[in-house]
Amino acid sequence: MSNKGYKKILPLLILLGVLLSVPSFLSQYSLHMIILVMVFVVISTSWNILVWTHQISLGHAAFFGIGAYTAAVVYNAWQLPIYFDLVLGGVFASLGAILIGIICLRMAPWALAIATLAFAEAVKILVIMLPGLTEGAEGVAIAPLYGGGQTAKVYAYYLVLAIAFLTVLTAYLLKRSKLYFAFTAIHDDQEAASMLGINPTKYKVMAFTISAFFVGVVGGFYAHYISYIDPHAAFNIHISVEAQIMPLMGGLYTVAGPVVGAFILTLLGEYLRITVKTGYLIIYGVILVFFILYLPKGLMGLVERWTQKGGRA
Amino acid sequence: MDLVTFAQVMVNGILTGGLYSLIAVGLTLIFGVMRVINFTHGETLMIGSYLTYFLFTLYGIDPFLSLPLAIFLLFSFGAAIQRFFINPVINAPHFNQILLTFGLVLILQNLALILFTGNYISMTTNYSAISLKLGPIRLGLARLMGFGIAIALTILLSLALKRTEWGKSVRAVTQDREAAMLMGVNVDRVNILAFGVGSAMGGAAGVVTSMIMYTFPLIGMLFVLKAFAIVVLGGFGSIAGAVVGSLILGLTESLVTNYLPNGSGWAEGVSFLILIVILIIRPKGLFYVE
Repeated sequence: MSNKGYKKILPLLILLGVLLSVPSFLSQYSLHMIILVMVFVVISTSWNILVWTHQISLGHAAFFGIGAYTAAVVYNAWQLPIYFDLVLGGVFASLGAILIGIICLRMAPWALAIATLAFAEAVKILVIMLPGLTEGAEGVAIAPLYGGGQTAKVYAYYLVLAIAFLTVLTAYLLKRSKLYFAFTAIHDDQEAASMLGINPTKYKVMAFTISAFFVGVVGGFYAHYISYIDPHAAFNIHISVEAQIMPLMGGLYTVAGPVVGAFILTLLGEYLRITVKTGYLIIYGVILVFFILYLPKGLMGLVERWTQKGGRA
Repeated sequence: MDLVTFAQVMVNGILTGGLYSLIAVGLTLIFGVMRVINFTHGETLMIGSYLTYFLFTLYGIDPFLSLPLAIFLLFSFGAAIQRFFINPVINAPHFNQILLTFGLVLILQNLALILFTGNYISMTTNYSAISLKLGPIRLGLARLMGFGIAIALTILLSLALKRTEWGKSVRAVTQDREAAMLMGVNVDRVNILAFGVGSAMGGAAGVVTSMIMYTFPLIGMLFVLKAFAIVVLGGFGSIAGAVVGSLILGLTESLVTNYLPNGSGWAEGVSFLILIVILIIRPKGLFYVE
């Protein structure tokens, strides 16, 4: 048992070491890519937490956008340390999630799916139509993170790495906690779960709140990092799409799956964006359809199958 | 308040509502029978509108003649989607189905982007500039004809659901899938036909949008979101609810556009607001009777 645990932890330590030393050997552009990867690690891991309770969000861009705008507006107004507005962005995103969660609780998962999609669009329209607060469609500019420049990018990388690490750690701890049993009990049989004294309502909202919080925080980070945010970038439906497709590709219900999916698809997406330009998202559609039909357990399901076969041989 | 303007605003709202109902009726039919959230429904509209546009600009074929073709083509399209994509996951969790149709949307949207570029395009028929006068109120002929198509097809579908054997089995499956199956209804066949007919309605809506407004690759997403709002408003699976919901949305949008400062910007949000409010106060729809 301890041997197995050791085997499991060693690759993780190596990975962490590599991630920590990344800025010393990567070019500025590659570092930028890894920062984007980390942003999506947060988004896809958070989305996956929601899935554990069998809720589906098609509008995670809403929480990303709320976090981004909160951070930008609050920072520009008071110039407090950015950690403050990042957390505040997360809190506001969570409040949005609680609102939507409570509305949709007693309903089938599809109601939540549509409501989240509508919520993202509704918040986007609010942001465009209230220029007094948000500068409308023009977008908001923010001072560059850590003063801009090359070293600033290295700091930015460590900041987003920390956010990603906390998100994945939270997912990991949740998965090993009693909460996860409550989550999956809801997933498997909601009525049975409530008979066992698990209050599905409470746990569903809790999962949604946690999920939205991290997405809000990373939305705030993104606004600072790009030093500019506008409604179409902040509430882009592609964020909501990528939030779903990354965990699906990596493997739903696992902790590693969304991370793997975020790495592959962010890099693939960037490559396609440069080479194909128009309509490259078609590949995302193909991946989505292919995995649902033929590999619903994702790449982690494939890995599981291999290791099990290896064990038997 | 100026009465003539008000009457004009109401008429515009009703005409728009007619178009919405054409889209929403198909969507609600599919949901009622299969309990599947079908995002590809918007793409049937997109395909129908491009078909109409190209038939007209390349071969001079009038939209009225492309209508039967669009209906036939998108019926086949819908039937194929159901048979080859939805059916294999019909017993999987809801959420796999939602993601699957979302994936198909991405494929179709981006295919359109690659083939037709992202530009907005519109066509000019010889009647698109004509408008009729009803006292002081003006009615665009093309919009009126589009409204006529929408009403005619909706009535046709309602009659088919009430009178034909197919309609009876559709209603049976909508009410209780298992019971229908036990009574010897061929549920697989009903599914394919319902998906086909629903998609054909979406295709017809595409013909109408091409006639009266414009088209672009992402037009499907725009309309499918509104259609979902309508379907939630009218109660999932209810045809009559979808028609009334469409009129409510059309009228509200028209009123907001004309009477609020910056109205056309806010009008885009009306459907989402309605959706969220209805989900709060009447999650089973406005017209649901226990």
